[in-house]
Amino acid sequence: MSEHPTPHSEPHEQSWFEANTALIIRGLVVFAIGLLAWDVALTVQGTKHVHYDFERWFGFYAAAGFVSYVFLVLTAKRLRTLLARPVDYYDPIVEAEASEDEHHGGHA
Amino acid sequence: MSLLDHLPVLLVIGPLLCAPLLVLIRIPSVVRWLAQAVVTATAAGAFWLVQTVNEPISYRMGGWTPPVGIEYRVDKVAALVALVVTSVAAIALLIGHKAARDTVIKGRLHLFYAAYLLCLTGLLGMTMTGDAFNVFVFLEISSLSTYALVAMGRRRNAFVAAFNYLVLGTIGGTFVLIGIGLMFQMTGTLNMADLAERLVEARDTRTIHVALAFMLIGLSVKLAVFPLHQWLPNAYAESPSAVSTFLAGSATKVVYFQLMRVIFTLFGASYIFGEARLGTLLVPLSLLAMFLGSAAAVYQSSLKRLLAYSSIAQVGYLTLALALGTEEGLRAGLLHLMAHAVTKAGMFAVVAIIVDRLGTDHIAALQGLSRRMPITAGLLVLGGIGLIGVPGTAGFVSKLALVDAALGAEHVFVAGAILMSSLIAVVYVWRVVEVMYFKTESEGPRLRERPASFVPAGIFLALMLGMGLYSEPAFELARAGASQLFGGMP
Amino acid sequence: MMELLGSIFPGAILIFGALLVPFLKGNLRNAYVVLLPILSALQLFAFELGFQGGQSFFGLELTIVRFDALSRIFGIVFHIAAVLVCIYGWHVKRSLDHICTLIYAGSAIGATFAGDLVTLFVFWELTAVSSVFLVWARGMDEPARKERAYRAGMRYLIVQVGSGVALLAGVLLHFRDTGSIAFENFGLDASRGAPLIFLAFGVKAAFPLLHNWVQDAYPESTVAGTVVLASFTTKLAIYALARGFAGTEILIPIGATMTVFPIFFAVIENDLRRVLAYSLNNQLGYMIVGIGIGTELALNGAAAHAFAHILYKGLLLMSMGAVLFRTGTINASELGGLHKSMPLTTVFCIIGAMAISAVPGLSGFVTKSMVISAVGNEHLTIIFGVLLFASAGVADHSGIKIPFFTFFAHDQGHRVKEAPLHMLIPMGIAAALCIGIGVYPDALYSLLPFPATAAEYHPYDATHVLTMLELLLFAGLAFVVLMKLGVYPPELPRTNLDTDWFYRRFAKNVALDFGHLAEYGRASLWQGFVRFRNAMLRVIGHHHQPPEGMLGEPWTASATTLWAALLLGALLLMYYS
Repeated sequence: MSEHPTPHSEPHEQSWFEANTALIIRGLVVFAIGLLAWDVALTVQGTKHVHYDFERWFGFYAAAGFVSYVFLVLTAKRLRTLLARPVDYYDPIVEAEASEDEHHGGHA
Repeated sequence: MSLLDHLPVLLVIGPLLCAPLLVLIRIPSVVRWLAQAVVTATAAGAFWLVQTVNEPISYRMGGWTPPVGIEYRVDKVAALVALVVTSVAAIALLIGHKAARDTVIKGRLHLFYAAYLLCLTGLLGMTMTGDAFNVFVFLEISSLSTYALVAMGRRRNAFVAAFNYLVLGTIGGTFVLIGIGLMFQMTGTLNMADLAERLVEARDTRTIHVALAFMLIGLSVKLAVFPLHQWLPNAYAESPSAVSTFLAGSATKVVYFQLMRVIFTLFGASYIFGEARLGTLLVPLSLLAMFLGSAAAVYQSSLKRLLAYSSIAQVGYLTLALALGTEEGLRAGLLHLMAHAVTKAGMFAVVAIIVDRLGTDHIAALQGLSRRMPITAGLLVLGGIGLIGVPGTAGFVSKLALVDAALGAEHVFVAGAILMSSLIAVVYVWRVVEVMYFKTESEGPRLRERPASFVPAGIFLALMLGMGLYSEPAFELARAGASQLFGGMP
Repeated sequence: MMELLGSIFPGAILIFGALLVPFLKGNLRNAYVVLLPILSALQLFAFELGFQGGQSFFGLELTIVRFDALSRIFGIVFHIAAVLVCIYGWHVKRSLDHICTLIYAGSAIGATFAGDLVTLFVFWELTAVSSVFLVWARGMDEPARKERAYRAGMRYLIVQVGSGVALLAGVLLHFRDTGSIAFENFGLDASRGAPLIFLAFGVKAAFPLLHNWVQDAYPESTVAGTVVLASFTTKLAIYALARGFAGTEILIPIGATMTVFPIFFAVIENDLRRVLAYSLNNQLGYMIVGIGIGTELALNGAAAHAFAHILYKGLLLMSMGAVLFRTGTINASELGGLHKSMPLTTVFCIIGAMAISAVPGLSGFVTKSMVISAVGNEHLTIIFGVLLFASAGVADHSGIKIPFFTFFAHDQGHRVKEAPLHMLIPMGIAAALCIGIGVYPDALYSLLPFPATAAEYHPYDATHVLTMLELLLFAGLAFVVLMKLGVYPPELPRTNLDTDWFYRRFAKNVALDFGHLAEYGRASLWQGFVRFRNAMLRVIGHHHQPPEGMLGEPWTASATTLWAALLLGALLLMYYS
């Protein structure tokens, strides 16, 4: 088990991604605003090639993506109370032991 | 007369005359090779017979013309059954020597071989003869020698098994005799061809109804049709390995052929399934056998008994094929007869190796066999795959033919039942695979596997694969046989 | 050489070549297992479009090889997948895994080129039997998982063989009704057998409620085995549906359902390879919708999406396999921060995630849009909405959850080596293909079943690029918001109930109850039988009670005699009337 020490055993050096989370998110927001601007342009020009009228609305896909996503995740979270069971619900397994063997198998 | 004309009688007389000779010689090595030579020669003769017979060959005993004299009559199906029986006998005897030396009381090896040859005589005689009373005589010859062979098993339970088999076999034989007697009383003839002609007029009498009922039940006992099967598991499980291999591939097959002759030759399918309504009894019994036999096999703790219960299920397929009452069904039955003979005999031959090396056939003792005896375990799996009827094996071809025949007879439900019951076979074969490949808790050391010991099982299983991959010859044989038998005896 | 290759069926090289694997070792074996699929792929050049080759069997004319555009595109992608998975499995020492992989891939390829139902059935069963060992393989490596792997494999085998049995029954009935075994587009009404064939395909295509074997078995396999399993079986079923049931309308709602319900499970699943298995079902849904619509554009879309899907799903599973291989776990709750130690794997995984999410410029975009356009052309508004919702769902579980929780999120302190070279190579090839297809879709389009229709389709339309980017980016922003608010469901080690509950718990309990009932019934019957038998024995003046217990079945003789008498009586009664 020398390859992967037990979690949290040492302080982690931060990578660029971890240090600049806020920057990444800001970048995403800027990109999103850019997309919406493009959307405005296409909507005003009226040059959208679509199958349905509702697709022509400004920001339809942006809203659809956001709402669908939130709905999906929150519904799934509710479902968990209904569906989740302990790991050994069907088969009792010794997970720690199992992972260790897999690991050794990988390096054999 | 050429040699071919005498072939039917030579096949029967060869082992019959050799048996007392063995008893007189008594020298184990000589006895062994002589028996092997005779049985192999018989198989070669049967092979020749299958090649040459087209129109039924009629052989007149002592030159007396039938129906006065006894007639041997060999048609395609009889030749086919003879080939199956003699080949199984010849290959199973290869196991015989080693297994027999361990199990038979020392110094009496010659008796084992003599009984073996007599049993073969009986089975072949039943197949070849065209005389109803002769059938009974040969049935008794084969039965009596089988009781002796079963009793030679290594455990004391073998005696009980043999005794039970004796009681039931005798009941079955007696029923058959009663049936023959009643028919003789009504028609005055024992020659089957002659009987068939005269029965057309006499068959609506009550006497013949009773005779038919006795014949059918008697043969059903010998065939181990559910629920008359209870002699079979113990007889197969307790007898020496060579004997269970031989019996699994031959005894019930010959009786099955007799049932075919009663149904198709003596009475005709239209009468049996029309007025006599045998289908209403035989279809449900066959279905029960298929499901309960397989289900019982799942719960066995001994490998031989598992295979024996599987045989009961397979008899269900065989009788179901007959019960369809069509030529397609008959063809499927003949195919399954061949397929099951090689598959089951092959599996018993593998069990013979296991019993020889481990000293037991308990499934629990097979733990880790995949590592201890990898080739043996592999062969057992191969046999199991054939038993399930996986494509590429003989079992697939025959079950496919059976399903197709059931659909052809508009028995969609029955066709579904055949497929469903095959899935139970997956379960009991799986139980064995599981123990051999996935249970390693109490694993013994690796055992040396002798290449020579694989020969019998190897031949059977190669035949099984051969039939599955290149099924045209077997299919052609079954087709020709079925059309000849279904057409009735000319 | 080409003539020789043209005389054997595609896949034969893999199936028969596999048998030599046990005799090779080390690098030689590794080279061999990769050369086989390459050689087999070259064999495809020996055939011309429209080629049919057959043989007669039992008087049936079998068409063992049918080489047309539909079978060609699946044949090509199966070969690419075979090469990739064979390289990916180089670290596996046991020959059995390599043999099964090759036979499995070969039989899937053979089935793809089967021109008749009998040949199809044979390969159909062969894929089932050869692949089950890959599920069991993990139990052979890890004694602690033996029981679990074995049971999962058993359930897998029963489902697969069940599909084969349904196919066989369907084929027989179909032949009875129509007299033909040709595997063509017959639809559901062709014969009594057609619905059974449909069911058989549906089981392998993981139709809703028949789907659970995918999530049950695939994640239980080994590092390499899961990738192999996920590449062939379900896509073979997609091919079979496209061949036999194109334009069967019931497929549209079936496919739409498949795109939606797995994504809910994917959100809360902790085993990341199981997440991908759910995602697999979701992706199959798009293809099945396309097949159900059945227009040229829709069928093109289904075939193209299957092609792209095999590559990016393989890429994602390979990257997750590499993580499992290095860290020893694949549970999201135990992973995080791996981008520091496995940067290349991270990049490849992100490319796969972007491809499956249909980011413009990658393969998923140029294939999925064909299906969605086909839906739009038919004005199936509800289906359109459903697919839109599902697209946002894909962005969550495959696009965000897989890479984020494995390689970023909370650093769990795993400090491991980068994935080994033999894993990076196939991942790199797959990633390159994902990008290549996205950038230059015409190469793929020219291979589609209807190349003329495909040539007229242009995915890179400004509106289309914009809307897709909007959909994905705002879904991503939703993720950020939910994380910031702390309402995104945390990864928890849990087993989530799915339809397998019905056979793993419900049916098991029912069977046990039934067993008790049967035992009770048997015992009662047995007592009744003993009383009846004793009464009968007394009637015939036999007062001796037979001993019980010896051999377990001491009563065989008497019971059988009784049965014989009863049956005789039954027959006589029947004839008497």
